[in-house]
Amino acid sequence: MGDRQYSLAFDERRCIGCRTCVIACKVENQLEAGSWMRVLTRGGATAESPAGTYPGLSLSWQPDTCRHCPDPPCREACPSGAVYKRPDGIVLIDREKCTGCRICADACPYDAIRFDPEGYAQKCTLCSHRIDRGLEPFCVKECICGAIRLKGIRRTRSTENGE
Amino acid sequence: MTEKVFYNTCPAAGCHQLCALKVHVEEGRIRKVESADYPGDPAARSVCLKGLAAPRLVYHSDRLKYPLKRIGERGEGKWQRISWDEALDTIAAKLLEVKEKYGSQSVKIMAASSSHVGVLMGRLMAARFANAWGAGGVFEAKSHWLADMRVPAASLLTLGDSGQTHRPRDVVHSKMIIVWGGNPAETHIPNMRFILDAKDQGAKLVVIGPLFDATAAKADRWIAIRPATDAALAMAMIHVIIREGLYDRDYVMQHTVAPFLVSEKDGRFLRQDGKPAVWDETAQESRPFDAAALPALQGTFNTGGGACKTAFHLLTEKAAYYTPERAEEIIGVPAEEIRSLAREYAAAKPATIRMYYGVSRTLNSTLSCRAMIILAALTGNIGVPGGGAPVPQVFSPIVLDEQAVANPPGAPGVQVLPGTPSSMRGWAAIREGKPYPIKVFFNAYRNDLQCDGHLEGYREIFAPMELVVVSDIFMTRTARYADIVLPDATIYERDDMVVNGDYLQLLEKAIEPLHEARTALDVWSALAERVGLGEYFRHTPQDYMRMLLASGHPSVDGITFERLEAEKIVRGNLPSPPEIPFARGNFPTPSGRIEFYNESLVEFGEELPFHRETLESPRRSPLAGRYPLIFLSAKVRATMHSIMANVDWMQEVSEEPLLHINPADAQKRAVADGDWVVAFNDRGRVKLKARLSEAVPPGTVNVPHGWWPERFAEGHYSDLLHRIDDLTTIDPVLESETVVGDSRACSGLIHFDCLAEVVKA
Repeated sequence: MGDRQYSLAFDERRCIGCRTCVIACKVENQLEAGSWMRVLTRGGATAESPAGTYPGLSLSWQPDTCRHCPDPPCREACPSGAVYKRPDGIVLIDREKCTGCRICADACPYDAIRFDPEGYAQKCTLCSHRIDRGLEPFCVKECICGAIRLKGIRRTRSTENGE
Repeated sequence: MTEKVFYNTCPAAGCHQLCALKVHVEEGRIRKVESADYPGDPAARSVCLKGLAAPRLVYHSDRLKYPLKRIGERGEGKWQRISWDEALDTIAAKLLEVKEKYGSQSVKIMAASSSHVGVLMGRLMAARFANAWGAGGVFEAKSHWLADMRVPAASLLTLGDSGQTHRPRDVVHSKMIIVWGGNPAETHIPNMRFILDAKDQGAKLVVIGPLFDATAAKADRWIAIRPATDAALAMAMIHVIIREGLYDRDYVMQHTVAPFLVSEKDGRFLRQDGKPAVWDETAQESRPFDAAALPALQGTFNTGGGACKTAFHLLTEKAAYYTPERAEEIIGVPAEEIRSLAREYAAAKPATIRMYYGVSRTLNSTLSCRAMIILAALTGNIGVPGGGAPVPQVFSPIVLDEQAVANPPGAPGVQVLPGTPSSMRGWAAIREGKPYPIKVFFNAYRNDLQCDGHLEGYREIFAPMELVVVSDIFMTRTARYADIVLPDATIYERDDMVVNGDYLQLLEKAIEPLHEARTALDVWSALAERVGLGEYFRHTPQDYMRMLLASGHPSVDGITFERLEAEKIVRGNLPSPPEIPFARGNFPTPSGRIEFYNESLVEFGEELPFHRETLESPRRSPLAGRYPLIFLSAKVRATMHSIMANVDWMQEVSEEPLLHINPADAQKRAVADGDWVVAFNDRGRVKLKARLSEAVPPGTVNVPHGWWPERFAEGHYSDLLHRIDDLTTIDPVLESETVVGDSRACSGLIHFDCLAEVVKA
């Protein structure tokens, strides 16, 4: 397990911007408001509008969340040592140690840190609770078009993957 | 903590996917839902953002919690809480009263929609009561409301089958996929992955439609067509394909009416020995089609029966008008692009044309869909995997004994309202009380007053009714116009089943109904008891499911309720892979062939398709001076009609409802992004903010479909649409005997056929 470095891979070609991953993240992590997953759009000036002039238009999407960096800047920046990396590469935040100082959020180049209603830092855990039981992250399971994959493990749709 | 898992489905299943879900329950509360596996078919597993958010519906704070009685005017929003006993006693007393005064047929029960999932609770329990009571007001047209059944109608008129379908995943066999008039990336999300799979294997994705939507964004080629001009594009493609000899001659000769001689006198097929005749080039005379050595494909001939042309000749002549240059003028797409699209389509075999319902929401769109099917026929793309021009919805081949549940022995049965071959004529008849009045109206599990045309029409239709009852889980716009509102149970609060394509799926009760909600079975049983029909409602849901499965049809052979209960999801006894329609060249048309020329439509002048400007065309309609903009209300990913639109999570991942307007049109009206605007026409108005977007062409505006009135500053976009009883929105072909006699094809509302103007508020 130690040589595995888990993270998510995103396939822009297969992303249709449906936001199922955003909702899946809320469901699995019981996030009433907000989500650790978001969908970036590459298009025009406003959220879902395309770039270009009718009919020469383009618009694309990409899911985006914590990259579980090999050398996480958030871990570097955290003054209280709350951010740590598991042997399998998953970067987690220890809520007990977090002081809510928000320095990690400034350090993250991917804008992946969120804060819970009490002000503590939180972010994608790669559904480590699922991975520990041999299951894919929930966004990976429910991404209907297969635009999100778990790197470091082979993904198969053919296995029963429920709970 | 003990967790239990129940099987069910998505409650927002009007996309006809019915994604199977596992419902996790802890201490009597649903913790989450997730996609469930289909036995032996991993690729069938699916869910989208709406299904995953389903528990938000169940635990929504706005759920109807107890029965309500109106105390103000209809629609005024003044309610009083009443007990179930009072609600049921009131309804039962009124039922018996109007039966005495006007007869049992003065009660109309409408309880079925694509949105209320479950064969029993969504449809058949109400149908059972209606039949037991002898309710009336049933339209000769099958549908009552929206009913996007023009694609099935076109299919019926051309191929003889309104339900012919290729499974969504059949596109992986296609070399070209034409998505015509739809946005599966938002509205049929589970199907879009198969399109992406096909693309990964090298298939070309062509999207035809006026809006740059999520599907267009994924296309290799987007044909940005002017709204409601699809027939002109298809006819121009037919023209190019015929002119350049790109059609499949053998297929056309063998499987279509191409060589049949059409009499110039009456437009009918010339018949010899009771069979359609062709011109035999060898004998130089007309002969029955099966007695000719070498039938002619093109030409004008003098036969014993008078001057005739082949049907193919007539199609060639009809299409000749639609040169790519003339089509460019009509559809707004460059002639060269039309030419190359036609050539590429003809060269890519197999290629599929996927007609979506968006293509069929304008008055003359049956003609468009017929022309699209002809494209598939000319290129030999009918009857082959990866080909076809199927109807968008998979009509399940599984046959249940619905009659056993809906129409119990001894029941008087429902009564048709004569003179109602279309829903528009049906509602007009009800408004006028002809030929008999409707005095009590049950409208259960439907939100027609938001989704199907504008409010004023309903007000007038409801006016002569003495009691309007609405059953739902929320106080919808429809429920607001009721006299009594009943709180329904959600699909996770009752036992039921569904048929989903090739599968039977059990819907298991996961939790007790919240609040005072009651299931449809409970409500209809309690009402039946009060009006003396209790004998018809002595069964459990499990009993009814047993009745359904005892159809004796091979598709459910060996599938008992016990098996369904144990396995939850069971594939019907069906061929695998599923049969491709017309693979054996068998067409259930009168001629047994593909009828691109339909002699039964001569009386309508529509024996061949052509382009006709639509009802509210900016080029033809006298309204266009005042209302120059085409007003669309296209569907979006977060809602299924109005379902899920009131769920916080769906709002969180969506823009607020905005009027999308092209910057050029906005500039003319001095409207900036984010400005408040009013969109209006003679029928109604809506106030909302503007979003300047290139995704809509100049001359067209779009408001996303589904959002509730609460989210608009004033009015609602549906009030700009046609009334449901507007007789000018009827296509006479769809009231013809052939269409009315079919089980699926029918007339429907024309939501994308509206003009409007926009001003800064």
